[in-house]
Amino acid sequence: MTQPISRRQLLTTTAAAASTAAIAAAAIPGQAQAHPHVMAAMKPAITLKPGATVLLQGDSITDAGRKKDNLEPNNKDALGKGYASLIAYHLLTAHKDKNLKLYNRGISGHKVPDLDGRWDRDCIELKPDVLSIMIGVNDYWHTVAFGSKYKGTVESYKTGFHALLQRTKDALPEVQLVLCEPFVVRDADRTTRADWFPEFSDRQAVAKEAAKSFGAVWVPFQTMFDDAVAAGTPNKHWSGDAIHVNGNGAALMAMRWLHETGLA
Amino acid sequence: MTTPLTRRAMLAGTAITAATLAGCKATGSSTSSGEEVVCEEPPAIFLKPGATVLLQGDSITDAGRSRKTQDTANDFDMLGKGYAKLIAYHLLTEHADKQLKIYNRGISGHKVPDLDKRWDKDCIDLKPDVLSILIGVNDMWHKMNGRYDGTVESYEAGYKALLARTRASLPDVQIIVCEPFVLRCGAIKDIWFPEFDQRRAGAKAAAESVGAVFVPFQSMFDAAVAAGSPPNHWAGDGVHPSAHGQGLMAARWLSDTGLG
Repeated sequence: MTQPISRRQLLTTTAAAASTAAIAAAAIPGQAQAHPHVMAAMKPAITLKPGATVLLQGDSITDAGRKKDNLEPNNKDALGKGYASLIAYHLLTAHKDKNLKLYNRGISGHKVPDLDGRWDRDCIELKPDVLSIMIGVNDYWHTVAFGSKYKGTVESYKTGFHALLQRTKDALPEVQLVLCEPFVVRDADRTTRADWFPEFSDRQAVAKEAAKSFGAVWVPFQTMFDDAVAAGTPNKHWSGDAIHVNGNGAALMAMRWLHETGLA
Repeated sequence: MTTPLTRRAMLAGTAITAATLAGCKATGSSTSSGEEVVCEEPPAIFLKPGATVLLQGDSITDAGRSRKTQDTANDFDMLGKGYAKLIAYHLLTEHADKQLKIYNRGISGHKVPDLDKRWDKDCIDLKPDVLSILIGVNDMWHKMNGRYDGTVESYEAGYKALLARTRASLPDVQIIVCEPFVLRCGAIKDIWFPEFDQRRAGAKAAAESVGAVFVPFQSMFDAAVAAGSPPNHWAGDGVHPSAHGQGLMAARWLSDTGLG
């Protein structure tokens, strides 16, 4: 058989294998050796047990206009209008027998220290089984805009992010983590917010490294938007200001998140 | 071990084993752990390098696409503003190394007989490796407006004939049939039922007639509404999906095809 197996299929097969004593190995012994990616993809995808709580955390991109006074799970107003709501409704419809509880607790303008300040109430106490975090744009942006009042560095972003994740793991040892890459939707010639780079790349590298350290699923949004622009879309199609995505950008993000987590 | 396999995982497993293991479609097969793996789902879709993916349908697929660049694969304007474009850009970014060629040829207002008339030019000649079709809401709507006299039976028969013709010309094409759907708001009144449900069943029967992957959009939107969202969040007029509706459709399409 010469048909290549997609990465996604490998991931899910691997996930299934991990939870059922190596079905993949039993089913396709030759295949596993033939494809080195099988070994590379031994990272388990996310699993959703019945009644699982899924929490999406972050800044304005996650927030996306959610009603802050509505703390109910699975509520349309509480889920906002962004990628979090699309993920939520996909999970609620594709896994409707599981009675999932989906929460969005993103807050516009927030940075790692802001998450830290509200983490007990807005994460630990919700006891998520799956926790997705996208944070980092404001950690940079607020150092160069809005009066540059924030003095955080790449190093403090790293220290703070790691501490937040460690605290989460300590309080919720079973939590499955998903870390989303902070991104800028750049144009093809990379002039959009060019002054953000390379320092912003350093922060993206920190987030990626944190995902590795904490065994989180990594969702590469920067790569995704770079690829989408390279494939012929204007960056304005996904985001007007290169930071806040519109409905199109949110939909692409939701699909990639579902793909990388194996929950699509 | 009692952890249930997710449907998605079973799908992927089915796809991988289909070529190496005969009989995945049998009632089950034992694994080393003794767990029964039931492969009831149709195989997922494969994308070979250079594959051509064609999305066909009516206004929901069309979604304002440009006709001027319709022969240019992956062209931004050609792909329209709906689920077809979202699917396209997910595939083009996730499978950036595969040099896929993706086309949208949906046309607003079209029904099964309209597809049939333009099928050589707008499907067969493109030689798609993967063909997705969403058709049926106009077959009902235009009849209710007095502009068309098709029946439930002619819809199903016409759809099956179109798919059989496609299979005859393109024996290896992988087909995806999307369930026609409506939201209970806007233009959608009680008088649409039960006939619309019968037409949905016709689409499903057509899918089964050629072993197509069936994407159950109606069940999906019904579940989304049952989960607490108002119908007009997904489609203001009950027929044409909002950006949210298109996003949910694309996510489900990618999920059910195994390409998500």
